[in-house]
Amino acid sequence: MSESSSLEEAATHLVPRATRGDAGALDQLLRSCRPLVYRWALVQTGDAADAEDVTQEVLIKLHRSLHRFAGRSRFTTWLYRVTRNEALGLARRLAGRLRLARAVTREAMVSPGTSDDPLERFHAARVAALADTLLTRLPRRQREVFHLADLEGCSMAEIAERLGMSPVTARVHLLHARRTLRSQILDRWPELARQED
Amino acid sequence: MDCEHARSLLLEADLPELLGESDSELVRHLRTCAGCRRAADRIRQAERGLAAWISRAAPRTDESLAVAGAAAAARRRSVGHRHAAAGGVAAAAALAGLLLLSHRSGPPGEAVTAPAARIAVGFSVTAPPGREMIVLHTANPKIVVVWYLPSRRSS
Repeated sequence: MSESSSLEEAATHLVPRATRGDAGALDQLLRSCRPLVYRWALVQTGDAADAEDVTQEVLIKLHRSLHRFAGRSRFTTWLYRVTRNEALGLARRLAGRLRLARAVTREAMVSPGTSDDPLERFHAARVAALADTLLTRLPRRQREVFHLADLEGCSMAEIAERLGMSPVTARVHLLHARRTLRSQILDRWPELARQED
Repeated sequence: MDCEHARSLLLEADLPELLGESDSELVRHLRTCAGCRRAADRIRQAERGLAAWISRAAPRTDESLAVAGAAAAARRRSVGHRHAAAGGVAAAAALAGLLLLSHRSGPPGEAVTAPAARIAVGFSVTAPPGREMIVLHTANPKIVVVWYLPSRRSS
């Protein structure tokens, strides 16, 4: 079961109780949402520090505005939109500002790790480079669609609903994203490709 | 299908094709070409690694602190909102009073023009030197509009 599905299932029980004023249910809901909201925010903003800020704002919004969730859509769809709006708002507020810390946090975020095994380090470095491309090189919509489709396993219809676009448009973004990332996967180690051919 | 075309299709292929679980032209090529099959495996392995990397990404702030902080911030903002709303009502009442005064001979409601006035039990207001004031009681007993103006006696 994907993380989104687990949260959806938990929300089915927690949201009604939380909206009726059950503080324990609200607390549990916030804890359940937080990791996923952070990862969505990370993909949306491309920056760990910004993702933390967005996550905290979303938790505050959940606290204050959970009653606005009318249940017309899935809870995760609604939550994704709240997160996305917050990330877009943050991007607007930060537009034009220099964020010196950004490069530092990104470097730490995509560090290839410190394993003793050279093969493991090699693999980690490859994944770190790929993560860097995902977060910094791809346009935001491509990042979001690729993350939801290929890493979270959401359907095109669900992605389209979350992002407010047609499934065909979502598919086009997905193919662009795959092309960029997979080209990097196949091009970065040409010596391996030649050996294997 | 030649390998160049297959590599191009691999760049956009869905997971079932990468796994060889469909019956497309690409999958048929992958069954017969070890090099392209390894390329497909490399893509799958890298994307699995990326999924694992994303799933490990977590906020650095302590969970309990973050949740408690969100609750406190939500309460603070609610209080701020109520104050802002009350301020807005008072400002609107003052503006309405000013607009009505400019069009009518006398202010609406119960108004007092004097250098000083008691506007509520235990609470009085004195105009600054050389000024008078209009105290405008609104329909809301909690809101009183006080308007200072140049004294007619001084002019």
